[in-house]
Amino acid sequence: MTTVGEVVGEHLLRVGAEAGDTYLIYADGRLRGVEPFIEKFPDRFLNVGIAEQNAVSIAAGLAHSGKQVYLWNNTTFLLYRPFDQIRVDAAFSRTRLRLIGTSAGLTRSKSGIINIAVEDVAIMRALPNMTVVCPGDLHEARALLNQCHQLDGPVYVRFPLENYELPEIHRPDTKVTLGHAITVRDGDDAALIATGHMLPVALGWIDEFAKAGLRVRLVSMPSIKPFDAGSVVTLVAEQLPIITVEDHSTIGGLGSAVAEAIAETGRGVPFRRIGVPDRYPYVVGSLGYLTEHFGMPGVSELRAWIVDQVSARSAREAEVGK
Amino acid sequence: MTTPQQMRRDLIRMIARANTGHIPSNLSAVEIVYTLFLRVLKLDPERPDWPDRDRFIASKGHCAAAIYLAMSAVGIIDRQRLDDFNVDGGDVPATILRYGLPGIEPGGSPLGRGPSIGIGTAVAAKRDGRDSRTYVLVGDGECQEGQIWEAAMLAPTLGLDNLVVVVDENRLQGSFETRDVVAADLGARFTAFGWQCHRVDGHSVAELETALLAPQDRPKVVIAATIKGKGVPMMENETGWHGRALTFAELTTSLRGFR
Repeated sequence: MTTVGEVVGEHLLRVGAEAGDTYLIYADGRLRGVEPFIEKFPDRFLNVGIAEQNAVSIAAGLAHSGKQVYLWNNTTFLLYRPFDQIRVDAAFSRTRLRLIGTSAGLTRSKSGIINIAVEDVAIMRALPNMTVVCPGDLHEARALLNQCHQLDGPVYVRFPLENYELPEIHRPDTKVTLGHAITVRDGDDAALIATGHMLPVALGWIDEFAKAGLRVRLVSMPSIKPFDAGSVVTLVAEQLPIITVEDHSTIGGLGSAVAEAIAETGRGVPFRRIGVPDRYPYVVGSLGYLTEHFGMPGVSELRAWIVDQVSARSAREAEVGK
Repeated sequence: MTTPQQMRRDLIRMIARANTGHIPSNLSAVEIVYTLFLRVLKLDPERPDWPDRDRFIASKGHCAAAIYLAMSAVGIIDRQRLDDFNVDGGDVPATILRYGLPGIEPGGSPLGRGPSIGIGTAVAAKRDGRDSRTYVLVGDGECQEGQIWEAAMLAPTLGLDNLVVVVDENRLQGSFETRDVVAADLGARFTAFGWQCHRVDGHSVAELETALLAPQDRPKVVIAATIKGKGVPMMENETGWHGRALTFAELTTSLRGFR
């Protein structure tokens, strides 16, 4: 199994060896898995200290001197304090800066607000010039890190915990392309669209739905920006009820992007967004605890909902058939 | 009677049982929070929100266990409530957050905000004519945050002789030794910014008490030289233990080798 830190480390080592201009910037902390890069290229590693704003602008300075710059941190530290520096020094300036965020979503929620990152996709996708990707498995992570390395602009790559073992969900020959959705399982009763580390969770749900005789399509949406609105248009054209699932606020992330795409078709489909509700927790809570604390729907509630949609559709079709 | 050494034993067990980290950061700060709560801060355990109380802003919020133990020693927090330390659904987080425990002031992580919040409470005390002092605890690694120096530049101009910042100078941060990341004489820098500076042995309650209570005519900084992991030989001055939870074997070793 390959962890998030290891896949980033492998990538850095490879691109670092190819062109000789890849830098890794820390604002303190340690990302386990990137040590081989640091050992091999000590002159291309810089720890600027616990100074997140400084880190972004220094990285921008390096990038504007022709370097390929990667900046890693826990997502909250990576993006929130230096948001203005990211907005101006990375997004507005079209800087080739790759922001690697770990501990996204509720994956480190027990630390409280300091590590709860559920607004990150919303703010990052609102930035012009920014690319936003949330890899959901090992193939997506490898392919998207490679493709993003080629981009002439800033990128935010969103990961769960650095020691999270990336599952292998796609077949090795599956084409993973920035800006494109991937159909993981076929189905014509409903569609479940998942992003990032909710992809394996969604796959588990699909299997549960199948036990109930429900054929639910699973779509992976690792690329939040650019966003594959066309894939949503297809689902609407088929009149499939749609569920989105993400470890992020229901405001501004995958669910919002899909809702916008549905609305712009001018047609409607039954639609649900599964994510973190618009509330902060004021209790100690690991991810599992908070899922219940927030009353986030799980497999049984969604299964019942899909059954309702199948029933309604069948009634409509019977009506048309009369 | 609570002693710093008893607090160390208690916090190691508390944190290890909760399977979380930051034990060394707690160990370095024990005498500082002990001295503040048991010798310095003007508080009323019966009225944690008493308007004339002194404020303790834990900017270095990840030494929450040490802070809770000191607060329980003076009767602000019921010791029993600490059984919920880092427990799902509880209100005793492993870093300082205002969830429901009495007497917790704003502050806590993310790093770097404490001195600014302290300026706010110190200015309010002045404007309201209250005899209330504000004490802010920061880490030395935390002083790499830019916001620390925004506050440091401003406080002398505002004439805040009721504001004290204590730096837990344990010389290690999450990644490396602090001096290898940013080499800085913090006392000299605060002095250059117009602060009254005291340097003490951060494991001496007597030295801390003297410095914390020393008269001041401007904002005061107390640079407390400490040992990260103090009391547990395998952790003392060693990087790598910062965020780690202990195994049972390590817990046993820690408590046996305790000094």
